[in-house]
Order: sequence, then structure tokens, then C-alpha cells
Amino acid sequence: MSKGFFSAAINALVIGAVVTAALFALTYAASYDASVKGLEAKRVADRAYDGNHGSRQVVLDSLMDSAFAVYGCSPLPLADFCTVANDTYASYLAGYSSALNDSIVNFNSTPLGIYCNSTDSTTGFNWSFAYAANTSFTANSSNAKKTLLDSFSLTLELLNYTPAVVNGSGTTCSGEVLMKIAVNDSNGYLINYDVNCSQPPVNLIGDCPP
Amino acid sequence: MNKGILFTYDALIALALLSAGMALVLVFSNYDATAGRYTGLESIGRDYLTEKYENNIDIDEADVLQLSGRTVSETPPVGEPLVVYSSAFEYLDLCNCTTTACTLENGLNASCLQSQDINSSIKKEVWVTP
Repeated sequence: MSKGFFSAAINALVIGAVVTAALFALTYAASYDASVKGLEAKRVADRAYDGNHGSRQVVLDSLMDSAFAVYGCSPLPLADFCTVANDTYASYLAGYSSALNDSIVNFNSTPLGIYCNSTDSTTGFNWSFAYAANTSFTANSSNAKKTLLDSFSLTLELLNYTPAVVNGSGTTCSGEVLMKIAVNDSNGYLINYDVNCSQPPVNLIGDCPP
Repeated sequence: MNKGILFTYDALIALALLSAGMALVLVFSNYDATAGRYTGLESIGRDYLTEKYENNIDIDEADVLQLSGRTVSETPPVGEPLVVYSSAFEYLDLCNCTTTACTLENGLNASCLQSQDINSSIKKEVWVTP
């Protein structure tokens, strides 16, 4: 057996071992990288789902607060409802996006279209509005991105009335302003809130509130 | 060339190339059992949060342990060598009302109508221990 052969065989073994070790190191690094990217992609997709899941609450929250700001505890509207509602929705959407941000996932909500129009009430409410919001929710990181679209068509009904309030002596007290905020979609009522603007609540029989 | 040895030079080269080829397949397959394990643990935590907070299912940490054999905790565990973190976000109930109909009293609980009903608590977190 020649010495040259052993030399070549050892060289081949060493080269093979080095190449294999290097490639397995690359394999581990690539697998680790894939693991991190996979978990990150899942987190991005989950965040987009979460953001989209809460989108109706953002709309309802802004509508309720706008209704109370314009019509609540006041005998006359204080501003144009649709203007206030649109501004409030944009503001709440920004706050919502900020709440869903963290160091890994960047979350953005973009209003694609808002429709708000006063409609004739057919249910006895003082005011009625048709409202629709079409919004895009995007979660992204350095390696993944997910966008979901959501849209709502709602009807907002407001009842703002001042009932006659009489104390025990038959004297009419100052008006107690009651308000009803009701929001429904094609499936029925989503919100049906009564707001008693006086505090403490006024009893029909008894002393007038201070 | 003398062939009287277990491996010939050509066979060793072939073995090296074969090993390299297999390694390349692994490199580009992106398969890692550890990744699957972490993703599974993260999913358990995520499922727990979504069932509890988004779907309002009455489920607690003991239920998860019974169902999955994994320990979940909404407070960070101390001293555990390995925990997997998971999170979910859920918008708060408007004016703390858990039903469709509600009555609010101005000055008592109607301040929710003056600002957005979210705060840092919309982020729900859980830690899963294998």
C-alpha cells in the first residue's frame, strides 16, 4: 500500500468532515433562523386577527362617545354629529393601533372609507343615522406582514328626552335629561344604553334633587 | 493505485459529497423539531387567551393543565429554565357592560362616554411551561 494513498485518504476524510461539520452548522443556523421567523410570522398573523377582532368595538365606542358629546345631557345638539363621529373614529383608531404595537409587531389601522348620514327616524327616535366604516388593519414585522379588511354598516338611533319630574308636593322639578343610545346592524341591537344625565337619579315621588 | 483498503479515495470523496448533499437538503428544508415544539407551546398559550378573553369561555389555568398537560400562567414564572411567551389583545367591554343593554348614570359610571374605553389592559399575556 502506497503512502500516497493514505495521504489522499486522510485528506479526503478531513475535507469531508470539515465540509459536513460546516454544513451542519449552517443547517442549525438556518433552522434557528426559520424558527424565529416562523414564530414571528405567527405573531404577526395573530396580531392582525386580534386587531380585526376588536374593530367593531372601536366603531361602537366612537359612536357612543360622539352621541353623548353631541346630544347627551343637552336639550339641543352641540355640534354636527357626523363630523364629530368621523373625527372620533379616526382618533380612536389611532389609539387602538398604538395599543396593539409592541417591539416586534407594528400595527396600523387605516380608515378606507366612512359613511355617515342623517336619516328619517321610523322608530320614534329623535335622531337616526346610517353609519358605515371600511377599515384596513395591518400587522407587520421585519419578516412578515398580514392585512385584514373589515367593514360595518350600522344604524345609530338616539332618544333624548326630558320627562316631567314631580316631587312629593306636586311641584315640577328641574328636568331630568334621559338619553338612549342604540346601535343595531342587520342582526339586531348591538348596544342599547340608557344614560341618566342627572346625578343622583331623580325619583318621581320624593324630594327634588339638589 | 492500490485498492487493498476498506475505503478507496474515490469512495471517500463520494461519501463526502453525499454528506454535503444531505446537509444541503437539511439546510433548505427549514425543518427544526425545536421550532415545532415552541410553536406548539405558544399556540397553547394563545388558545387559552383567545378562549378566555375573546370568546368569553370559562376556562382557567387548571383546565389547560388538565387538557394539554402544560402549565400556563398569567404571571411570569420565576426560576423556570424554559417558558414560552404568548399574547392576545381584546378590546374592553364598553362602559364595563357585559350585555347589550345597560343603564349609565352621569357622574357615576358615564365617564366612559367621554374617552376611548381602552388602556394597557387590553394586552393579555401568558407564559407556558413545558
